[in-house]
Amino acid sequence: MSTGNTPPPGPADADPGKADLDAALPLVYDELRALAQQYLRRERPDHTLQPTALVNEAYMRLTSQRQVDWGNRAQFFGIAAQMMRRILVNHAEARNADKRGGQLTHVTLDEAVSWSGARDLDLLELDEALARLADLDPRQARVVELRFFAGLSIEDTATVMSLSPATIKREWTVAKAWLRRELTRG
Amino acid sequence: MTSTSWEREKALFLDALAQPADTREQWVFTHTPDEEALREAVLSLLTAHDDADEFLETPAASLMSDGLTDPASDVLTVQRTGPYRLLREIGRGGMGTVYLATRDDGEYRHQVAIKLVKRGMDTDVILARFRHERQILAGLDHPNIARLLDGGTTDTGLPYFVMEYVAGCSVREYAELHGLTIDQRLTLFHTICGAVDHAHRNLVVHRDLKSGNILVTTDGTPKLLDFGIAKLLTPGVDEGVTASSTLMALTPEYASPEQLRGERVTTATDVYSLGVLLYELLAGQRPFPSTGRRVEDLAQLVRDTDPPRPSDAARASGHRDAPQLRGDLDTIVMMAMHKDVARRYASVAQLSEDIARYQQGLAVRAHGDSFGYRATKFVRRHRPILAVATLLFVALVGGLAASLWQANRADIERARAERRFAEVRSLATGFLFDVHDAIRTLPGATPARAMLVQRGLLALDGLAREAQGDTALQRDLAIAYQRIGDVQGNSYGANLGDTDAALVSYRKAVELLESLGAARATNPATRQALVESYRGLAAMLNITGELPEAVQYLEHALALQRPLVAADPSPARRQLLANLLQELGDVRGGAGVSNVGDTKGAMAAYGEALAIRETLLRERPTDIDVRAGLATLQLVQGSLAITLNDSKGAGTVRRGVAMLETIVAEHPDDAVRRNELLSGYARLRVPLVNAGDYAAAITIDRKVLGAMQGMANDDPQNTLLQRNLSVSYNNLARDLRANGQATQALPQHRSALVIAERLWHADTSSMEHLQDVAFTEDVFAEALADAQVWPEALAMYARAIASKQRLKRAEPANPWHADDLGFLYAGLGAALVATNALPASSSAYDKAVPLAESAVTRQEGAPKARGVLALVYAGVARLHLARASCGEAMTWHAKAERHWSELATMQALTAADIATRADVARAMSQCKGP
Repeated sequence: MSTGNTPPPGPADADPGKADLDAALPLVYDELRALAQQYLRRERPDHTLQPTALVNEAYMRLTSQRQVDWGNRAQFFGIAAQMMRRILVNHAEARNADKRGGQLTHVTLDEAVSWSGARDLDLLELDEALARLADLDPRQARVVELRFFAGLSIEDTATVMSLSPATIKREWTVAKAWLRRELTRG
Repeated sequence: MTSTSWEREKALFLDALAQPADTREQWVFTHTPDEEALREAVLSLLTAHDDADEFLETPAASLMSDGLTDPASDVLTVQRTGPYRLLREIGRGGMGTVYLATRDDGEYRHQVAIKLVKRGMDTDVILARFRHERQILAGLDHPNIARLLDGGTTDTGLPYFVMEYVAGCSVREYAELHGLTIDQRLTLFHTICGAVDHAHRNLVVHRDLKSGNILVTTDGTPKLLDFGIAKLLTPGVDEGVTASSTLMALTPEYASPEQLRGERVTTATDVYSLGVLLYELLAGQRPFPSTGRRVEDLAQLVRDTDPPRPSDAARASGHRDAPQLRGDLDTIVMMAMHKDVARRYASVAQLSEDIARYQQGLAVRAHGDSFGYRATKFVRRHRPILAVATLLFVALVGGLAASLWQANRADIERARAERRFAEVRSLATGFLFDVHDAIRTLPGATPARAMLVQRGLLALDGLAREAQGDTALQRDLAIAYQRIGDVQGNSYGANLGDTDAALVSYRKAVELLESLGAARATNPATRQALVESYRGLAAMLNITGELPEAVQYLEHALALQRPLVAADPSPARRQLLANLLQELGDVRGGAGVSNVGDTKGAMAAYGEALAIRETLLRERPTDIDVRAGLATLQLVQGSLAITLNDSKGAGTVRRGVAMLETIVAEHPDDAVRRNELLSGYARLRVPLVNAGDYAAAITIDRKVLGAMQGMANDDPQNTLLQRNLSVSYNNLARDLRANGQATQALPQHRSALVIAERLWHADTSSMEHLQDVAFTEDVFAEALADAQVWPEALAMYARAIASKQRLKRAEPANPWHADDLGFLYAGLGAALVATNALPASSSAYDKAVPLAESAVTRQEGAPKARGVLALVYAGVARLHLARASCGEAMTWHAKAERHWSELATMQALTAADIATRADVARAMSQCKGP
């Protein structure tokens, strides 16, 4: 993996049940990756396609297996967001390799959907910028992970981070501006 | 970039955003006069912000799936659908995607929403469901339901339908954003009920009613959306949705118990979800928040437990509307959300009618569950525990039970009642005493404690009515009242911050115990209960500002406790005696707390307490309560010594902090001690600040603030922690300001003020909270003045003075308020000089001077009061300088100098005094010319 600066999964705080969770992380990762791949290949015609739903579904499937104490949903979402980031970044890298025969030119996410109004966004550049943001302001980087990679709403992000929605909104505003500036500086 | 400069950049950026768009740049220039790099950084962030509207707003996975799948065919076909041009995606559902689109044929260019089945999903099942939703929408025509406008098939054969596009936000967001009153919320809800009722009349159950599915347009019209999992009640029509996939699509927070059980869904399900929505709109939170819960736990909770009443939930989270919710609104919500379908409103129309009746002041139809019904539920829920309790009970009163066998039928009935009575009583006291005590010190346990105590008290209250004259029960009840008082408001421990309620509980406890003759009771436990109740009452009176009464109750408590200790000097009794003495010291003259200004009396009480605590520690060197007791006493005694300019004070505080550090390291879960340790750190800053070592003080402040934020996050309903968080923000801000970083102090003060005001609004009977507001306004005003933000500084001084005057009226026995007012008027006077409003400044100083002078007299020349007086005199000197009357200025400067030089000989000049003194001397030099 060329970026190498995606943080490793795992909660930073000591929580009851953390040991369980750590042991089970590979399981979560596999589950999420399988779901994401189905999702990205559109193999799931019968289900909601929101990324939130995807993480939620992974959670429900894993809890229904009852093998591990997964802690609460907020904890799970927090970890899943980091994993989603890694999965999607890996995916984007793999695609670049496929498309350009391994050259370093990045494919933009929406090169085919210019009508959608979204601006060009290079996921790998974003991932690198986000790692820099994490050095400067870890909390903001986390908000971006939860909002952009796990697709959580402001309110859900607030729940996961145990902060008020107003705080999240503020951090999100600053983080977006900061990342935007990083990415346009070239 | 260092983290401090990033914090500044961030703060300036956010503050700039709060300015009108066209003045932002100018604003940034004004606030970064000499810092070009910082200015550039903030400006470039602002530019990036303007450029970032849609940036990152679509989640990564959604972007990727669009961009990475078969772009050529898919995108081209969906760019245009019939006469509609697609603009952007606005939502996704199980079957397809919703796009914003326009119809631009001819002069009309209005926006619509188009729902489109996605390519590759056009299986028979999906197509059937899609047609089903379209069919449902086609049958509904109501101003508050998003309208179906058109439908058809794309060139590639995929079905689509066109709906009215609703630009707006969710109903809860709307209500919060616009600060709707309860009445306005009810009106909005009533309109929503109309839309749901319309659907029901057309045999459609929505099944997924929630805030996010009801958008409110900018003109305030709610629109019901997303009939994606709606069900047609027409027999024979199967919508082709399997039970499991419907369950997946549900939102557990809103789903009805019968939905979660997978049972038949009727219109009653929508009534339930409307109940949840109403709950959320009124209480500002959901009845079963998903926070920290697993999905299946949440589902179980919804199925098996009753949520707290909206008023209780609102009150616990400090919502200002809580009192208005109590009564009918609680009852309406609880009836709509009843677990038992048969006990819910029979229709949405009935619910909606009750809302209207409430708004017109008529009696509502909703009725709460009777005591009997609740008791039955209680017994059913707790059957296993109850079985054990019953066995225990039978063992205890076997004799009585035996005699009952021979009694007649009426007696058997009575015996049955008595047995149930005893069972409930043992359960209730179990809740109150055992479980409550077990979780008392756990972080985050405050709401659980409140629930336990409330449930237990409810049961005991009911029993007390049935059993007048049972003295043992009356005593239990009194103790229960005392315990609930602790949970409601005792600021010596974690509490819910409801002073009024706590005061009532303690008074009930005192009345009951006094009527039982507890003061002369032979049973020491009864006397002990009275002591504890007096103590709690005193704590509440302390908060409400009735300080002399608080002193009086503490003295009553001491008068009872001393003979108890003499009769049996057990460690627990001596510990309580020391607590009472320490608290008496606090009210008499404790540092940094409301008091009657008797510092000598305070030192005497602390001294007696100290002797007891030190003896206890020698006897029981490992007992955590004993160690923590001594440590906290050292904190308060040392702090008072510091303010009295006693050089040993700082050492005493440090010893207390060291002891608490060891205790917290041994017991990391003990939230109470952790909080005490943080307050100890905060006390350590005082000697540092007095010595002018602001950098060291700031380091302490940041440490305390960080830890306090963590603790407050863990237990957000704990008022004590919120208070301390506010104090921590203020401390950091004050030291930043003293260190010449006034601009950075401002956001910290703002955070402190927000918290202080929230606490005060939640409990306006607490003078302690008003004191925090006044104090924060005071220091905030000073920081604003230092940062030279004059209009805001003047306004803040005015607010601080108004709050202080209110406090002075509420607490006539607290002499410090007058002293503080003198200081505030002086600050206002100085700010007015700076803005060249000299006549106004002169009248401010006219008030400040006599107040500051009498403060020095009252405090018998205490250094702090003299420092303030010198500051006031120096301010008047500056006023005269501004008027160019050197003679007057020199007179006042001389008065200030007299106090400063005396303070200097006492070695009691603080660093701030020294700085002010030098400043004024420099300013005076203009008068020394020829």
